Amino acid sequence: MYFDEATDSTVIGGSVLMRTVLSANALLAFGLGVIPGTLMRICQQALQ
Amino acid sequence: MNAVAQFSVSEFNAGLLYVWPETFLGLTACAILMLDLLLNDAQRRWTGVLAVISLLVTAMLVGVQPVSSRIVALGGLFELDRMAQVLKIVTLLTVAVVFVYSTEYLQRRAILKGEYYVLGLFAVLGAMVLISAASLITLYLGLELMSLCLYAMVAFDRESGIAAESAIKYFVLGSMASGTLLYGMSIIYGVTGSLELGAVANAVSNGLGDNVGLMFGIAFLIVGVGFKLGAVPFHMWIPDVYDGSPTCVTIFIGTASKLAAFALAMRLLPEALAGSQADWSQMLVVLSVLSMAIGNIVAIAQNNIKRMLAYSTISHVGYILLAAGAAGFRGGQDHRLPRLEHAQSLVRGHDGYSHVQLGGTTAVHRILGKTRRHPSGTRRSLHLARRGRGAVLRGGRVLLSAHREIDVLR
Repeated sequence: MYFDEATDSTVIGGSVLMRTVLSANALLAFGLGVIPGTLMRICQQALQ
Repeated sequence: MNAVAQFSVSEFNAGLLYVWPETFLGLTACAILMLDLLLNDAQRRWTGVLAVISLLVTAMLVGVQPVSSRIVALGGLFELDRMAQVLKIVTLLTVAVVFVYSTEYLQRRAILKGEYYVLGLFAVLGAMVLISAASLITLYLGLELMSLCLYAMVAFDRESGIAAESAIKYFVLGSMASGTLLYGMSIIYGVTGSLELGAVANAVSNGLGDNVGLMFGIAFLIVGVGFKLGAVPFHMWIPDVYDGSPTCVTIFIGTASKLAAFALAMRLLPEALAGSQADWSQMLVVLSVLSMAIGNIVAIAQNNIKRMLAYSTISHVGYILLAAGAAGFRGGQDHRLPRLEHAQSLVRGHDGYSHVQLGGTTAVHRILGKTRRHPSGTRRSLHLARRGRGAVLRGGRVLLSAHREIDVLR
């Protein structure tokens, strides 16, 4: 579906703040996906 | 009753130190509500900015609290441990991100009102009270404070018929869940004679294990928790509510309220009812297997992206319950890992479709050609949705392998 022809040509955008937070969110997601150690350690400490 | 008898003024004052973040958030929410009256529509964004700042400051206040061991304060009503601290910080930060995403969405639909933020802040306050509850009373109070705010938030777009319908569904089913939970709590109180989670745990492990009344209470509690988490067969509200509510509210329900529901399950089952773990873990395993199967299978048939993600949430709830049920309390204590991963993945997945929503549609066929309209954004959303799912599955696998290792060690 993502690669089919568009039926709606509304431009998708957002404010600078939103784009920044979204990008930070994406980077964080990537970071946590590749190096999940920190998150796992926090979780383990939460159970001590 | 014991809690009231032991209560003293000096103890209360000492306990106030531990509820400082909650107090701050409550007072700030009231202040923002008042301040919002003075702002006109053009200045309305500032309500959002203040709300985000107050969440970040509260997260900082929670972060600096010294939590070396489990602290019980306010006459046994409130407890502070590391789990509470981590869950609160994650909730606060997640909601701050949700608020940042919300402002533009609300503005475009001309429904940017200060109440959205104030309701959101009170919902977070409810979640925080729930996360730190050390008594069945505070647990229920926190849950209701959060739920009532969420019902109103779902119906936030007053002109939308589908939002109103979702809100009514959510309200009716949510009230039923609260009622069931309350019924279970009252049975537990009747059997154990105490509202404090610690005292309940003592009573259960000291020879109440096979009490029929206790079994009834646990069954009702599981139904209530199942409803709040959205586990199959108590999942029917999730797709409708996710689909019907404004997307910014969907993100809120998908993240903060799920973290709180997880805290509810953790406080009630492994903490208060550790003594009868054999009974409730069986129930949780059944719920989790059903959730994983139905959530994933039914998601395939959806042609609305919000409904698809709602079914995906149902399957994620299954992974979490599987961890809690299979690992049990003593065996694999890592069952909170997938929960946090889940929250992260929800933010990741949901910002994907919050992005889609900015384009004004959720029907899959209308997102056609999104790569051409906004190539980088779409790729990012797509990657995020996939990554989020992968992370949760990985979390589940880590957990299961950890559990196996512990089994071997035993």
